[in-house]
Order: sequence, then C-alpha cells, then structure tokens
Amino acid sequence: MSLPTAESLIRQALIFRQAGENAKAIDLLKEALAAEPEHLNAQIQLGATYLDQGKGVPAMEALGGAARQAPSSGVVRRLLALGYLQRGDLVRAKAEAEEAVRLGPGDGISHTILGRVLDRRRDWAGAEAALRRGAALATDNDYTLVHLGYFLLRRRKFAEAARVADDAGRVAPDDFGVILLRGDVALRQGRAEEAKDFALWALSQKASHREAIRLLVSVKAHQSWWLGLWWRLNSDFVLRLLLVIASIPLGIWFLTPIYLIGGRLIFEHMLARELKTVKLKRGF
Amino acid sequence: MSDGQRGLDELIAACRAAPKSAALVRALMAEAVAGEAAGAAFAYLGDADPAPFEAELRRTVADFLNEGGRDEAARRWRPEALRAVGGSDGDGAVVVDLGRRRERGAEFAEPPQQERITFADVGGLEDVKQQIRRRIIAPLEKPGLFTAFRRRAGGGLLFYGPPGCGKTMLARAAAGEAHVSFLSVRIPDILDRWLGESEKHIAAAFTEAKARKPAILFFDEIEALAARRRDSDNNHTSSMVSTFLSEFDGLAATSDALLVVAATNVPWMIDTAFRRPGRFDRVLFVPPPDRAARLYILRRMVEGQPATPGLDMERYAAGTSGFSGADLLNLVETAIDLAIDDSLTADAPTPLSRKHFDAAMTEVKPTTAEWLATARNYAKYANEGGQYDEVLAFLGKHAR
Repeated sequence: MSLPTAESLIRQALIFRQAGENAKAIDLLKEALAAEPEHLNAQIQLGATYLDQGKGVPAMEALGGAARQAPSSGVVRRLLALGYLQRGDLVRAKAEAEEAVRLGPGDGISHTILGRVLDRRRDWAGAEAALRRGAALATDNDYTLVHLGYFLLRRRKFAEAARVADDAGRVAPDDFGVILLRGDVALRQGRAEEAKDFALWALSQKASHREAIRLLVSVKAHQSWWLGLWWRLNSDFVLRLLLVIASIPLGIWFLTPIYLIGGRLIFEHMLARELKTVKLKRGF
Repeated sequence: MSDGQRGLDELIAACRAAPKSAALVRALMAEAVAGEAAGAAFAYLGDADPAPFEAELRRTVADFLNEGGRDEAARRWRPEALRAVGGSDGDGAVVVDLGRRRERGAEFAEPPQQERITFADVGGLEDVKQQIRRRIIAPLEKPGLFTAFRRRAGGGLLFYGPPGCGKTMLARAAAGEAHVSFLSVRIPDILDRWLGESEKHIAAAFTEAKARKPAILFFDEIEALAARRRDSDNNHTSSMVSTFLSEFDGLAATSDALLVVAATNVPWMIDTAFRRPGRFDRVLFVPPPDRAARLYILRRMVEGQPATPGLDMERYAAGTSGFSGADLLNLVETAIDLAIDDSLTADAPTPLSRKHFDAAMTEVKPTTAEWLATARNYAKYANEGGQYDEVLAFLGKHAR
C-alpha cells in the first residue's frame, strides 16, 4: 500500500477543515509538510487553519514560509493581513491587505479584508468602499456579503443591511455567519420572533457558540428587559461572578456561590427548552 | 484483544482482500459508524490513498464498538457488515451485492424486480400517493395525453423527506403501479475512487434504463453526488457530476418513457445545477408516515409473531406521531426483545403483549423531529421558488 501524497493529505485536511475539525486538519497538513516541506499550498492551508483557530503565532510562521516562497501571491498576502488583524497590528494588516488588492484587483475577498482592516482603523468611508467593492466583485460569496452586512448594520443603515442579508441568504442560507447576520438584521428591524428562529438555527449548528448565544440573549432582551437580564446573568460567567461580589455587602454571599455554579445549569436548561424540536400532533 | 479490535482487524483484512472495492468499504462504513467521522472518512476514501483512511476507519469503528456500539451493531448493521466484524456466524467472507455485480460487469443497478410491489403494499400516505399518481404514473401510462398538452412525460423528480420514511419504497411502488421497470442505484455504491470508474457506472445506469424503458431510474442518496461543493471540490467529483448531468440531459432528447427519480434526506444540500428545468425541477415531500401508515406498518411487523390476542396496534399507531418507518421497526424489535427477555426469565414462551409495547414506547423516541426542525428553517427562510411549500403546509397542519 503506497504512502499518501501531500496532495491527498491536503485534500483530506480541507474536508476536515470544512467540517470544523481544525485539529485533525492541522495534523494532516503537518504530515503533508513533513512529506514535502516546501509545499506552498500546505503552508497556506496550515496558516489559514491556524487563523481559524485564532492561533496567530503558528499561523504567521506557516504564512511566513509561504510568503518567502511566493512573495507575489495575493492569497498569502491577504492571509497575512488577517493574521496581523487578529494580532491587532493594524499598520501591517493594512499594508498586507493593500498589497493583496494590488496583486489581485479582481479578488473580492482581498477587498473585503482591506475593508475589515479599515473598519478597525475607524476609516469608515474607506472601509465602506472596500467592503462594497468586495461584495460587488464576489456576489456569490457569503464571506464578502456577511462582512458588508455587519458593517452596514453597525453604521445603522438597516434597510441596506437587510438587502445584503437577503442576498447572503440566497447564496448560503445555512452558513453560520449568514444565519447570524439575518438574525441580527431581523432583530434591528423589530422582528424578534424571526431573529429568535435564526438564533436557534445557529445554535442547532454550534450549540455553545458565543455569537449565537449573544443573539439569543439579545432577542430575549428585546422581548423584555428583565428576561434579557435573566438570560444574560445565566449565560455569562463574568456577570454571575460580579453578582456574587455584589452580594457580599448584602450578607447573602452564601447563596450566590450556589447560583454561580447553578447558573450554567439553569442556562442550559433554558436553552434546551428553547431548542425543542418540532413535535407532531397526536392525531396525525 | 477486545471484540471491537478483533472485529476491526477482520474488517480491515477483508477490505484489503478486495483492493478495488472502495464501494464495499463505504457500504460497510455506512452501517458501521454514525456521524461526522463517517462523513469525513467517506470523503477521505473517495479521494485519497487508502492508508490514512485505514487509520481513520480503525479509530472510528473501534470507538463505535468500544463505546457500547455492539448492541447497536447487532440491531442495525447489515449482515455483511456483521460478518466482516465477526458479529455473526458468517464465515468472514465479505460479499456485498455490489461486489458481485461489479465482477460480472453490471454493477450499478438492481436486476428487474421479480416481486413487484404496488401502493397496496404501502399503508396510508394517501396525499403522497395521489401526487405520485398524477406526476409519475399518469405520464408513464398515458404519454399521448401529455404530448397533446405539450407536457413532457419523462424528466426528473426529487423525493425528499426525513430518513426512513419510505421514499425508496414509494418509488418502487410507483413503478409497480405503472407496470414499468424499476432500476435502483444507490449513489454511494457507484462512487469509486479509481479515476473514470464512477463515470462508467453512471453512464451504464442510464444506458440500462434506456434499454428497459418504460422505466423509472431511481437514484438513492443523490446528495452523495449532487451536494453543493466548496473547498473540497475536485476534478474527480466534477467529472462525475458532468457525466451524470450530460446523461440526464441526453434523456430529454430521446425518451419520454423514462422517468428519473432521486431521493434525498437533505434537499437543501442539492446543487442548483441539478434543479434546473428538465432535471430535478419537480419535488415531492415524503413526510413521516401518518396514522394509517403507521397502523399498517405495525400490523405487518407484528404479523406472525406470538402475541396476546387483541393486542391493540391502533393504540400504538395513535401514539407514534413523528415516528419514521425505521423508528417503528425499532419499536417493534424492542418490544420483541423484551418479550424474549421475559420468556428467558420465565423459561417459557411469553407472547408479545401491551406490557412489552408500553415499555418499548418509553425507550424508543421519534427521530424525525430534528429533520423537521431543520426543514422548517429552510422552508421559512430559504424557500426559493417555493420548493419547501409542502413542508410548510405539512407543519402548519400537523405540528404542535
């Protein structure tokens, strides 16, 4: 039986990455690089997967290797920009993103990454222009649409954000980011029940994802201030801890540690009730 | 060495003994391992050298067996999978129909059905049967009428619905009702990691169907070929898709007496290229069995079993809303297991009774709820062209 080639290992790694199993993908990519240390695509994919995990140091190591091999690759440059963006080094992030755009002016994703960098630098006009260009160049790409949609939402351009969210929904209705965007837009437009559906859809994909929980809590807060507070207190460990500290002067400190531990259980119970699946009538 | 490990070694050995049977491994794995790991493993096998797949196979099957999966395996695996892992009294030979068919060069399709089934063999689901009569049977029986109205009789139709709810059975029964040949192809069985082989299997299936027309050519688990692709896209898959679509489009020009029906549990994963006019542009929702269907299924399953007189299946048909056909089978088998346990304890045969079914009802839960929840999301928020209108209507009428 022959040994797997670097190419086949990379293909398998991509499948794992797509399934969200980044650790397995990284193992395979390292195996591919062990077989062919200078394999450009393996370096790029390894860097990108580390970025998915938020591990900036190994990501930049892998991408640095790729950049040495292919200094004029737009893909490598835009990934480097993302890496610097994750680190908070906005000067280098901007330089790399601009270089990526220069190398691939027709690449919508590079424009979107430049837009994200400019957004973080509070260059709103520049960010909006870049994000719009990104979405216009890659009309069927959920990444470009989701980032434009969230930008417009933050800039309070709700109607336009809703149009972008609808477009994203047509392109990739079951993409996690698209679901969240549509939920946030629905909430901003006062459609709380719809937003709740999207929050639950997102939670059915990633049960403990911070952003999905944030959306559901926001829906609860929209429905009732007290309900929102109750959900927030139970879903957030830091808030629970603050509650314990605040209770010390009141002399009921002995009750609150119980709540501190129990809060998570309460939250999970509340979530499980929300996530109830469809039941059919008995007569059917 | 644990049972799981020994069984696994036998499975691996069997797979090695049949070096070109990627489909064989898939068939075994499909029954052997559940969840994402299996999905990744299949994709693995589809594209890669077998060595890394073998390691993955070893891990996933071992985990499954060691984590209490043996009972599950005994209940659900195919006999050939059980034989392969040493779970039955088989001789260890791994032989699946596909392998035999491949050897004789007709690997894609089932032989013409000797035992024809009709709608009389499918209980309940009158609405769905009515739809099938109008959309499948009438065009095949009266092509002239459709020609007069300039409507094509052939083409494609996509069945979708929760798993285990009788999509395949309905397609087979439709062929029986229309008195036409029925050729069934399970897509994962014809995908082959050897370049060009899968394309040959696909082309051969269409050729065979044309030779046997009037016919229904049925593709099960079409998503294995027709799923939307992103990063994992590769030339091999693209080439298979091209072959499939080109054969499918070729039918439009040649035959009205051939209907291509496909089934999927995940219609939202189907690439839009497969849904274009002339291809699978018509869809039919096959819901979980209704009360009449469940009663029919339960009665058929209990038939011939030692049971207390007057065991009221109506009661269980009423209490199993949302159960798929597979869930009902699980329910009956659980009740039978309990009756066997009682018989062993009493050292005398104990017939199936209400006590066993009541206990089984507490153990077995419907599996369609999750599917319906997902389908509801798509129906409400991604219903392009009204493709999920039937799901919305169904949920509006029957969901609590």
